Amino acid sequence: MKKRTRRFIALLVVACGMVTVAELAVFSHYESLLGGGSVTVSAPPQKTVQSLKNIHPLNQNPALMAVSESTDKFAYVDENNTLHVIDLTTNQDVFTKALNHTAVAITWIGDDSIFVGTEEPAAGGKTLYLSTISVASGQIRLVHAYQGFSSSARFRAITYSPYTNDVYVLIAGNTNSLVYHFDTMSDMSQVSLGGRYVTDEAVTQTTNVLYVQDRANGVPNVLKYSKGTVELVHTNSCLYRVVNDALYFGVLDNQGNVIRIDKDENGQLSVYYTLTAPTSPDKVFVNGDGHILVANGDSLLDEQTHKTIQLPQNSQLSVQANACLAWTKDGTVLVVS
Amino acid sequence: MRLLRLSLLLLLVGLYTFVSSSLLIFHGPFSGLREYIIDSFTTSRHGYLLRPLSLFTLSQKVIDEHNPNLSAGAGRSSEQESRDFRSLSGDNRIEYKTYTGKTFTAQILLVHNPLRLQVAVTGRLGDVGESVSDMVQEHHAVAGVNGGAFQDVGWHGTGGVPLGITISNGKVVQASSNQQSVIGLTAQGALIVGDYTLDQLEALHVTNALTFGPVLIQDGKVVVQGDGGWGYAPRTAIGQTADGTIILMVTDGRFVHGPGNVGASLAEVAQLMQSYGAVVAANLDGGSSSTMVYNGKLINDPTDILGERKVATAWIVTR
Repeated sequence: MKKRTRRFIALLVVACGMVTVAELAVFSHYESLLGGGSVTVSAPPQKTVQSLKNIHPLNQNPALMAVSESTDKFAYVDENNTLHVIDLTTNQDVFTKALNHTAVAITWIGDDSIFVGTEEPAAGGKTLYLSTISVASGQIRLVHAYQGFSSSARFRAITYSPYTNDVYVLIAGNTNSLVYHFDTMSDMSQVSLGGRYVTDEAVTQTTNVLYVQDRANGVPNVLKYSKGTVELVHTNSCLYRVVNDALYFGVLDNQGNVIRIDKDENGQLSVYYTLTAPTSPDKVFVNGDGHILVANGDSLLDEQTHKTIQLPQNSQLSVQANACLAWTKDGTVLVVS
Repeated sequence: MRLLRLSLLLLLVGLYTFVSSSLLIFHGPFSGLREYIIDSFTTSRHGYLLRPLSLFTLSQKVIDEHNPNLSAGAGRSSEQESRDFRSLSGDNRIEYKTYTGKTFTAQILLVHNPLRLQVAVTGRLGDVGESVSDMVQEHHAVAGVNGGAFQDVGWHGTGGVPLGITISNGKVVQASSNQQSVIGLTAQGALIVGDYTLDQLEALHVTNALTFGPVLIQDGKVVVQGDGGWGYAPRTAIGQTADGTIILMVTDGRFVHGPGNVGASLAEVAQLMQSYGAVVAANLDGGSSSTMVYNGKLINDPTDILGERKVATAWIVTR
């Protein structure tokens, strides 16, 4: 037998021996422990407009501001990487928590807890941490640490249904994306979307249909994923919001402007509302009642009721799932939900 | 060449790890771990993986024996059915206890007046469920735990459709023509557990009931065989002592509080119930549904990432 072969076998035997020792240790430890139809979910009351002052999110990142389900609470991460919760009924800061890693995204879970996405540099890229923080107890629970991601990767969306307990986490970099699913057993699996570059997502409340927006050949498209299959909903379109089990999405013209809002509900596709003028996708917001609000200069117009909301001067708009935030660099935030 | 040899080595070690782990777990000396693994898979939707993971050395018969069964054939207790605790109606004491075991921590409420117990049902019946906190708040109650079975196809159930028999405050919310594994409370405040038809419950003046199981204690005796066959997980249970006190219990598990925190077996819950003096007890819906609310606060850590699960029914303690 060659020396090299003998060395290989010896290495194999040693490795297997180490594995066996590790297995016995782990198994013994645990042995010692163990021995012996159409749904109508009424949307929460909405339509509030709240103005806040001195809100300076870390790195001026609008993904670090979020409004709770009942729209009673506003959360943000300040420039010192501390999470704050403000009770919008009293304008009082009711919760603070310093975070261990750099915050990059937050999303409310109902009115009681918050998903917090944080990150830290790691060799050759970064590690992304998804945690939940209970506002009542302050308890932090690490849901998952995503390791080995490129430096451009970030949490793009965290969406869930409180009724079916399905959670979908979208992580995307400059060219690639991954969507992860957690079920009620906290089992995580990667959602197979055929390698599409996904930039946004939303999930229905009772039917576990995941809608995603991808980008292919320079054009955004809306697709739906259900029971393991992916189906195109509309090409050249952008995803806005799921209200109950209905998706509202924008249909774009050749210049990339929204010309109308379509609705997909229980497999039925319909034209929902045609905008009065083509509008940039980031200037359109669908509220909880399905009203279409369009930003124009320093005002936000409800196209159905024709009511106008005055926005702070020189504000930037950040459209989130359940709220539209108009924010300025001097710390003013107007919450429209 | 060196890279190829390293890849081959890793492949062989990986193969060895899989085969040796499988043999050690399913045929080695770790009987507790073996039961835990089998029970964990049979109580999840991944039961089909057991045979391949065991290298097809585990028979389907063994797997079937571990499938959970709400009805454990514990019979009924005529003595318990006839108990009358109406004299306790003025006793408003509630005691809050905790217990720490090897693999779980339990939160326990002792409610001295059983007549304060009531089954609460989601306000969106047939549609979606509600959290225990919401049900407690809506009924202006002081405490509550999650209750019975609900439709949960593929673990995507919304909690809107209770299964079996459900009676809330004298009103039949969900009926079934068949005998069901019932946990009920009579108008005299006696907790009854076992297999009943709706007619039998009505004849016994049961005013609140829901469907789950199995029975843990009947006539003062633990009726769970072995570890109970449901593996280790977060649990919710209800029991009653001989003097009428209702015991509400939830445990944690699924590693929420660390790698040793696997949860409780049915046998451990039964033993804990017995240690608090239960003469009758039954298991309620567990896992990510396990929730306990007391004095307006959630006092356990539900395992679901989203926190409290929306469920169809709850046992609540009214004011």
